[in-house]
Amino acid sequence: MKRLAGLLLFAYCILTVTVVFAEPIKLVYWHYFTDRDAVLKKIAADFEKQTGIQVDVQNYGPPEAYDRRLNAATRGKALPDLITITLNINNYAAYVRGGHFLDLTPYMDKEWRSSIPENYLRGFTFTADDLSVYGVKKAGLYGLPVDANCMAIFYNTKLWEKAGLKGTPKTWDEFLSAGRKLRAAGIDPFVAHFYGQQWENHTFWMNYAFAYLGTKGFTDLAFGRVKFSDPRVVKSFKIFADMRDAKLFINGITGGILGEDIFPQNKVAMWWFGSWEIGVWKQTAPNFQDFDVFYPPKPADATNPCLLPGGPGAAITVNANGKNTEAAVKFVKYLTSKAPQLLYAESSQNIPVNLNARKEMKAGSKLAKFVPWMGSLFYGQYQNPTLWGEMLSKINIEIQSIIMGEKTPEQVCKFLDEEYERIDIRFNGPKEGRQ
Amino acid sequence: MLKRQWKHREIMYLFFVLPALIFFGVFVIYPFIKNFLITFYSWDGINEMKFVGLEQYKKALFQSPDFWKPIKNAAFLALMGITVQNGLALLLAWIVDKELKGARFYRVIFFIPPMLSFVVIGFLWKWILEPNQGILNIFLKNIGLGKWALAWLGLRETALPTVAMVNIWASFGWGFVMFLAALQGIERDIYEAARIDGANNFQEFWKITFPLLLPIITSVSILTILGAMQQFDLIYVMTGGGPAGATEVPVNQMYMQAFQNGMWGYATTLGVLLGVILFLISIFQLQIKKWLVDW
Repeated sequence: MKRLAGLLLFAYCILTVTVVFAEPIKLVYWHYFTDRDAVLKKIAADFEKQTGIQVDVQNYGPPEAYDRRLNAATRGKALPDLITITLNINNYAAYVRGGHFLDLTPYMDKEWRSSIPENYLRGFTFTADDLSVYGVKKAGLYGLPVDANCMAIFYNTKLWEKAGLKGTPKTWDEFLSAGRKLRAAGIDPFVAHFYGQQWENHTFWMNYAFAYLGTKGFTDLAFGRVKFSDPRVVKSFKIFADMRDAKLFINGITGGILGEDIFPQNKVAMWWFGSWEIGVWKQTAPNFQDFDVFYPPKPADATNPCLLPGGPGAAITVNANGKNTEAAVKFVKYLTSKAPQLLYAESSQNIPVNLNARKEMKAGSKLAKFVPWMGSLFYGQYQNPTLWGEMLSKINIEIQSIIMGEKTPEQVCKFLDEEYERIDIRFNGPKEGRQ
Repeated sequence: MLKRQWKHREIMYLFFVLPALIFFGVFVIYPFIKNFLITFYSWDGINEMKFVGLEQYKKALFQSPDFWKPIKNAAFLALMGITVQNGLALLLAWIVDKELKGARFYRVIFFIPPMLSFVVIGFLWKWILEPNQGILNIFLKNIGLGKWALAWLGLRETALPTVAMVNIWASFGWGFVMFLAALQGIERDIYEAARIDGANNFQEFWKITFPLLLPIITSVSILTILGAMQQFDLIYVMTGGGPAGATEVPVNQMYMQAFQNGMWGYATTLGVLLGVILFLISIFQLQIKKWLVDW
């Protein structure tokens, strides 16, 4: 009996010592969102209260510097437990190939899965079909979005009124006509970041490429099964010539004019940009309220819907080689659940990724206007080969050639066909020798 | 006995320089060799490298405009640097050296731009050159030169010369300081003797100042070429390489290939090729310097 009591006492002491002196689980979370650092820290603190798991939220913005840090940390095997990634997993194929990101599939229960739009999950999944395209060894879900966004055309309601415009354009001709009216009223109609290698160049074109080609046609274009000289693709580039001829572009648009500088100052009527800017204005121009948004109108001869760029914004993934992967997954689940998502959306003015949280957004708010369009995004609706990234760099440059009047859409498409051929041979070898 | 002591000393000296040698080897020699080796591999920056031999050199030199077009643009920046930038720096240094009233003030003023980072300068000039609200165009319009109020960074014809002018504005201060230091090192007696012999200002400059400045002119020229050929921040901030690739420079191209397209092996190849070109230019300039000095 004495021996048993002694044994129990010993076990109790061991347990007490273990509990008292055990290190609490501490996760490290890297991100690059200066505007969202505070709310992420608040969510991490709430999570700690509920679970006892500490999350050290570390901001390594801006994004360019963050990308370099991530790359270096991967090579040095020094990744944190929780890692911010963006857009879709295709951009991180190299990390997945190297076994650095955790496959979240086994952790996603039915309820968690159904709270996030299916196409977003698709965007972070490597399917069995993708394996050969991206050289990934194992199919799976390698990340989850934490917020969402959508691009649209912002317009300045004051300038709109000044030009005598009522309502927003629904067709391409109405859009061009609105631009002409604005120009006649002495107002610069349209600005976008159509310079350098800015992604706004090709994303604006992609709206219309989808409208003319449809999602399957666009995938075929990306894989070289449809030529750029196809009349439908030529038409998708013609929209830039139409806008140029209607004098819609602000003077010097290809020279790096920043919409974020001039749009809130009432110096241009329309700006092609994303929903996240509403959150940015909350900090940089809190009094600017004279704006609204509209869906880009499509030309009458485009037979498919005009699809918008957008989808998941910031995303998170778990370090597959971390010490506390279970706890890290727990945090990801918490971050993407309804209450933290509402807090995140309210604070950052970004669209929540959680569908239940979206339903509870304030009706009538500018941000809520984007929500119905979230079903018309081209995100996750097409596939592209590895060479597509380099093609987009070429497309960015060629769009500027059209805007400057140096090339016609036909010349641009002919050139892009030649470039595609050249890049394809480099990536995949001579066509005649291929299987 | 003496020989043994000397050997002992030699070993001791080697120990003194060893930390620096190790540091130099690890952080300079090894990355240099590694960098060169990467050019023979296709690499995404994360995973295993795939050997491709000279394929990437072939692509850069003969198959793609990725290398030669930016080199041409950088060469233009370098040419403008050597002629306009260094000419201006030399002229201003010469004027200030003439014991001009307020010379100290000018010395400080001319050296302010090089103290600023290219990023700050890029944003500053982008704001000045903004085609619609920028102060340069507003000024031109107000003095009746509205026709000259162009989209400076948005047109193929003007973007590169505009960036070159900003680069000159940002960099001439370095040359100015170096030329001024060299000018102040020239013995005044030589000028006095020349004046007694009846030399005018131009003759003084051409026969005395210029020949004595030749070594420093060569050094400044080499630095100018190296700086211009490796320009990145200014272009990145002002034009991003646009419009339509008109201001793309080699480092900008490397950045894009590595960070946007994930082609680290190819980006490294572009870097090595640029390094070789810069090395050859420097050797050529040093030969010219030697030839001029001998002459």
